Amino acid sequence: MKSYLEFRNVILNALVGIKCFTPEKAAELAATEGEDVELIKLGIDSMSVIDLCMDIEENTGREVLIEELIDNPTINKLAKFMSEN
Amino acid sequence: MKFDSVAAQKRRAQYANLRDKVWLENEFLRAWLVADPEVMSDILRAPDMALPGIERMVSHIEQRSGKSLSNLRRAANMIPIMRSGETHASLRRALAVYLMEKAKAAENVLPPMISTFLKRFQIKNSVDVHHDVVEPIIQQFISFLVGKPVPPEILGLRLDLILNHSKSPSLVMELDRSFAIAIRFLEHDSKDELDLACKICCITFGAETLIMMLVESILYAVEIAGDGPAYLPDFPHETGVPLTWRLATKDISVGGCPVRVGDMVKLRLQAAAYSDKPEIQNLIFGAGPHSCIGKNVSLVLWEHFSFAFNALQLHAKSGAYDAIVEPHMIRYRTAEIKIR
Repeated sequence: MKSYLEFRNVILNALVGIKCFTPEKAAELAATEGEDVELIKLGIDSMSVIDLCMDIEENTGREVLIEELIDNPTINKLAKFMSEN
Repeated sequence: MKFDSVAAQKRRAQYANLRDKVWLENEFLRAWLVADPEVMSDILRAPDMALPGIERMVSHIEQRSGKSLSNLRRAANMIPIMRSGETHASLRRALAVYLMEKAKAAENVLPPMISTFLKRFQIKNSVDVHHDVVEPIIQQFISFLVGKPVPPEILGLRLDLILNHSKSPSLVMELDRSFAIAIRFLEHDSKDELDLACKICCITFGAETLIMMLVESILYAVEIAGDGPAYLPDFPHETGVPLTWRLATKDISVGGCPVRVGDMVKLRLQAAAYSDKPEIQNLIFGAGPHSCIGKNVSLVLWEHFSFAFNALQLHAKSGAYDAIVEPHMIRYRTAEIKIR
């Protein structure tokens, strides 16, 4: 079971993978645990949602339902939800 | 007879009191939800509202995963409502003919099928309406529609969950494997691709909606009967098609809301059942060129089922009820009534 911070890093890396962040911006966010970002503000659409789910699953082994992502629409909320469920 | 249980009143109030009748349910996916019967009626006939299909999402998952979803793609192509755009007229006609012939034959098949399972109301003190009565009838009915016994694991395969964005990409891939099994099971006895398409439609859409239609109706009938016998109404009050989808093909105003080209619009047809206008209530099966093609055969089932059920003059009261309410459907763990 991964911790909140581990999930948060996986999500940040996945967002780099789908070009929502530069690696530098992801590293900056990884260093500031309290800072949160709304996924909607990153220009995520229905297709990049699929990429995000698949990236997270590949890196954690945990299946991500699209509706879980919709119900937890920020990086920190999603990481918290995934670490607790 | 006025069919107005406490549960129905609550649902009517829920729909009537919605602050918005049209709202952006999901900003991410640009998905709108519409629960205004009159707006829905317009959308169902609007040329700028097309069927969304699942092609785009399936292609994207294939590209991303490097795995083929050919079974899912093939199945979706066989189901009129799952095809993108307006490419399904001939398929829809073939399915209409198939279901019309089945509806005729069902007149003889349904009475003994229904009476076998309704007997459970007479021999048990406590009956799980879903598991003991309705599900076995629907399983036999769908088997009759496709011409051979359908195993439970391929009954009600949920392509609609893809449109509702309820699945993970992994589950979509799993669904592809389930459709491979279903196609293999049905292909062997099918005359051609069109015959197979009709059977795929029957196992994919119908089982869950018919189960919900009958279970909810029996529960309502028992609830409103009090100490008297429970009777079903002339026309089903629940479902038909609980939720359907359209894709905006241009920027358009829906109930005063700015829907953009490419936005998904979900229509909660169930809300129509609680309209005061009888012509709107019929919308539970949709309307226009993409209305529910299973409507007639569903109503044949309803007619036989309600006739046999009403003849029982069942005296019962509600028991344990445990349901999973999904955005588009109710699935039951328990739906019990106690026989008096």
